[in-house]
Amino acid sequence: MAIAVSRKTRDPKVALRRNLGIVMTYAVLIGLSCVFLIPFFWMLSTSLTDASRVIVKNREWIPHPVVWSNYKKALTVLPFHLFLKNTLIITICCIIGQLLSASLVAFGFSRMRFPGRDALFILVLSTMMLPAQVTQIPTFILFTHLRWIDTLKPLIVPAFFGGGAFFIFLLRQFFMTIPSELEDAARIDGCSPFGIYCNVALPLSKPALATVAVFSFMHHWNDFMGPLIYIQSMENKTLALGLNSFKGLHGTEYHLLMAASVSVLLPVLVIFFCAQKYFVRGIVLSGLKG
Amino acid sequence: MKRVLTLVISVIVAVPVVSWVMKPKVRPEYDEHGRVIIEWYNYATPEFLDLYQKYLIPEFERTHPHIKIRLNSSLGDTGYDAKLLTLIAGKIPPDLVHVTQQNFPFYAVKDILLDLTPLIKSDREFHINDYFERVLEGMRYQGKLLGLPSDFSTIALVYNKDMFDKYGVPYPDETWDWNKFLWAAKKLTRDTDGDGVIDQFGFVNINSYNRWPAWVWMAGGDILTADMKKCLMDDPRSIRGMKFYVNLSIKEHVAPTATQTLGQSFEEMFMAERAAMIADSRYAYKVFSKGMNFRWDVAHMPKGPACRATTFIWGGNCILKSTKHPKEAWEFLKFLSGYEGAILNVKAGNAFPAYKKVAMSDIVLKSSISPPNDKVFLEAISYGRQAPFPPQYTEFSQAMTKFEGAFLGLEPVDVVCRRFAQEVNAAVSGEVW
Amino acid sequence: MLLLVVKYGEARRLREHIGIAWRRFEVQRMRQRMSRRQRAEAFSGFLFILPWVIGFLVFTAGPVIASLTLSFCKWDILTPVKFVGFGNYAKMAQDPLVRKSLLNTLYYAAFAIPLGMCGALGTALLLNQKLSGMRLFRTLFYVPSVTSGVATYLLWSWIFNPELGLLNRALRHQVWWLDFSKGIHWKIVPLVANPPKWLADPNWAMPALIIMSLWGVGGGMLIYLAGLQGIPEELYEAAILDGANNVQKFRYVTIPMLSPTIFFNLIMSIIGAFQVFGAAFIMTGGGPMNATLFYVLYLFQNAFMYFRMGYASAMAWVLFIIILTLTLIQFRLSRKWVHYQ
Repeated sequence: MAIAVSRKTRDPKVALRRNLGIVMTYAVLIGLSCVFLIPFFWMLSTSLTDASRVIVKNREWIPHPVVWSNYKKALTVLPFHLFLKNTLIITICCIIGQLLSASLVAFGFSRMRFPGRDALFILVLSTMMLPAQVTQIPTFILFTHLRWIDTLKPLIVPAFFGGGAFFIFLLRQFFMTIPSELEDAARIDGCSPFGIYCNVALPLSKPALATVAVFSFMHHWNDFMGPLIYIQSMENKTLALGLNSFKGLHGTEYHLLMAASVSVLLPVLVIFFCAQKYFVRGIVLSGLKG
Repeated sequence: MKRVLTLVISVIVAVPVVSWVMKPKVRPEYDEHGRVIIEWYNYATPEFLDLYQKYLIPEFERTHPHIKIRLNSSLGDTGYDAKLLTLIAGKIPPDLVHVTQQNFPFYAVKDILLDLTPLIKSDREFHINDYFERVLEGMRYQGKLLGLPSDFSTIALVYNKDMFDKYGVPYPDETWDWNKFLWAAKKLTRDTDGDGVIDQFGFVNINSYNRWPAWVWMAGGDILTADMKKCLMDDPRSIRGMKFYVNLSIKEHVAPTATQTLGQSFEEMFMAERAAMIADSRYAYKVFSKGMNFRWDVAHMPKGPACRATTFIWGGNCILKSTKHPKEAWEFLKFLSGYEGAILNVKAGNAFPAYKKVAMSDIVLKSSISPPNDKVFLEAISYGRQAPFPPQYTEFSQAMTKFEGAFLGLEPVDVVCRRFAQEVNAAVSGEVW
Repeated sequence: MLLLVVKYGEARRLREHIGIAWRRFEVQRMRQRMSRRQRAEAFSGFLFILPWVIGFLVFTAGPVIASLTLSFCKWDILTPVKFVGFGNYAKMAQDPLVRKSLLNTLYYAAFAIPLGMCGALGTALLLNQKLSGMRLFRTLFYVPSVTSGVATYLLWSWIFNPELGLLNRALRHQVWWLDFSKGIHWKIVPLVANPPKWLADPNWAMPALIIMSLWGVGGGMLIYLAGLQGIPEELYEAAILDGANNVQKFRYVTIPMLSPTIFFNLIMSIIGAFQVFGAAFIMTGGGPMNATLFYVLYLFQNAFMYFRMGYASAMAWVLFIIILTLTLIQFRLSRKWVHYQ
């Protein structure tokens, strides 16, 4: 092993090729990063441009003057504070609901024994295959009969009932890695299953729960189709719907449109940068074990 | 014991939660004074809502003390139709619905609107002659009158007098036919800064179904037969009319294509003097009142090879069949389309009220925004027609998207017209789906 | 006296029988006592999964059955339900827009899936080297796929704007070009004189959406990265000893070891491609001329614009069958090329 390494570095031609490879790699990576990030800069640049300069062809990248008031204007022309409130309500309630519900159910599937457990779990997994459209229409009609249309309830209540097959799957895989000695010790101490769940499983699975919370946040913050179907009045709209309305009403005022878009994206980016590792872990967990 | 305690606690917590979740919207039929409550679902933007609440509703309730009006406004939101459908599905339908010629066909073919003919017959105070028959046509379907219009306009040629003077083009008049119109439009289409891009167009056309049929009629064609059993767009005259219209932007370049508008609306282009003529309705006055820095006037649409024709744009109200109080709803409907409703429409600058007497009065025709020939819009009623729609409305509107190809210049007009006719004929020969 | 003896004999036999029965009962009770704990656990287990069971019945199973029934009926909310048998499915077979939307979706899938997977794998390979700063690049590449949503669609609509957008601006950028007429000299020309009108042009709207989907390769890239890092070094070394060059290493070590991950990504991509909705709805509304009318978008229009609930339910079931079939085909084919450890 050591011989192979030293043989490589002693040969100048191979070293040159390797260094060239490294340079090429960095060049390609930097180039790709630029391509991937340019849209964000473009969005930012447009959002700070003056209204009269936006429709100019070959406009400069850094706007002169920098119009910060675009943001204020964009966020007040439609009631974005209401949109934010609604989105926060939905997102926070759903995160709580999904955390509670999915962990309970996942615990049941992983640590409890009951007849039909594995068959039921396969049923859970198979619901991931079902396209949402198959259940959308009858669910919509159900909510119409309950008169929940144009409220936030249809978007929150289902999160408390199972939390979604994907999260159940994720958490079950995680719970199965908890050593059973801990569970046995708790049982000997006279703990009920619910007690084991509360005192053993939950504290140990904080990273997995954090991953679920982060993914849930992303999904509900960006959710468009759900609110589109159930919400109609302006004051009940979420950020996603609000942006869509913005496009309908002021779609040609690109500077305002981009300012609004940046504002909606910002929280997502902030959460992402703070909680990066949970994203990565979540994706990896789902991808590899699949 | 602990189990019982947790059970009790969870029940205590669950009951209020479940009741919050299950709480249905309550909809009383009579208010605390015993008055009948009539719910009116409308499109009201905030300015209209203000007028309704400050002027219209108090006036109605004063003269009809046994009725109370409840407003259900979508506040100019885009989900108007969807919301109405869910109200009906949720068994809390409104009594009156505000419609325009855009969504009226959808409700008419679904058979949920109340036929007003028996109500009109039994009501001595109501005179159908108070309304323009051609405008009422728009709300007739299969022999029934399904609503009353509250405001309307025809389409006429609005032109920029200063631009005509600048290039020495005589103003449009009754002698104008298609040739003269095209000649004038060509003279007014210019590339003012010499960069090869047209900056100023002679004419601006809006490609919606409540506008372009006029050109088909002017050539002697039609869209559907009177019995709605056959599509006539493959008739050579229809194709000729459509071709002339589409060529204005695609071949003659006197009108802008979708990308040449540079994101401005058509009224904005006219106001910015980027277009010399626009075929528009009197609803545009609301936009025009923001400031026209030039002299302008209205003229009749040019005469086509067969005749002169124009379309209508209108808004009105209908009563839903499911209403429990048709008589009270009818009282309010009469009010909305009658004298008081007309005055409100004038106050809001909403084109013409449907009520003849007010529409033809000086309040409208000699208002501050009126150009000298404002009455052209009213004169145009005599040759105006309503764009038809068959019961198979969904397929019809789907087939309508075929014209996009022609408007974009991607497909020849005759091919598109024939394909449209084929699809519509297939649809109208089947049942309503 | 004899009667008493007979009666005593009978009583004893009776007692024997009762004794046997009692013993049997006791054994049974003992067995039950052992499984009573198990029964308690089973009961608790059911309680734990009760939220999911309720949710499944109310929000999944019920709606699935209802939608199947609805697909055989005609209903538009305003008028009563009408049973039409296979009428909806027959109409779907004739509806030109169903055909168009399926073709559009397949067109998108045929390009976006392979390009996306190659892109994700390529960037993962690039990032799989032991150089400094890889984590930073990994984050940068992943950011775009995190931001998916309405804001992103609006951004890309703006980028694709034919006159003022970023893409066409870059394409129209002036470059030095050799002009061969009248001798050889340099000339300034735009890179692409007449760049396509993207979302306004029926031929370029779908390519535009495909390009946009490539921006989000970060998600797949992460999965491939994790998979690549799970490949043991020994395999590579064995290959080097056998004299393999880079291409052969890739083909005979990387791909087979990565095949489960590739397979998983393929399934997810197929399911994803068939459910594209937001991008089309917000950016093009299905146009121009139905060029970007995806299947799910047309389904949505039928359900919530035309209120043909039965027809839309039939469309949903056909979608389900298509996805199921494609997935099963992939599972079948996977036996040939997916290599599990």
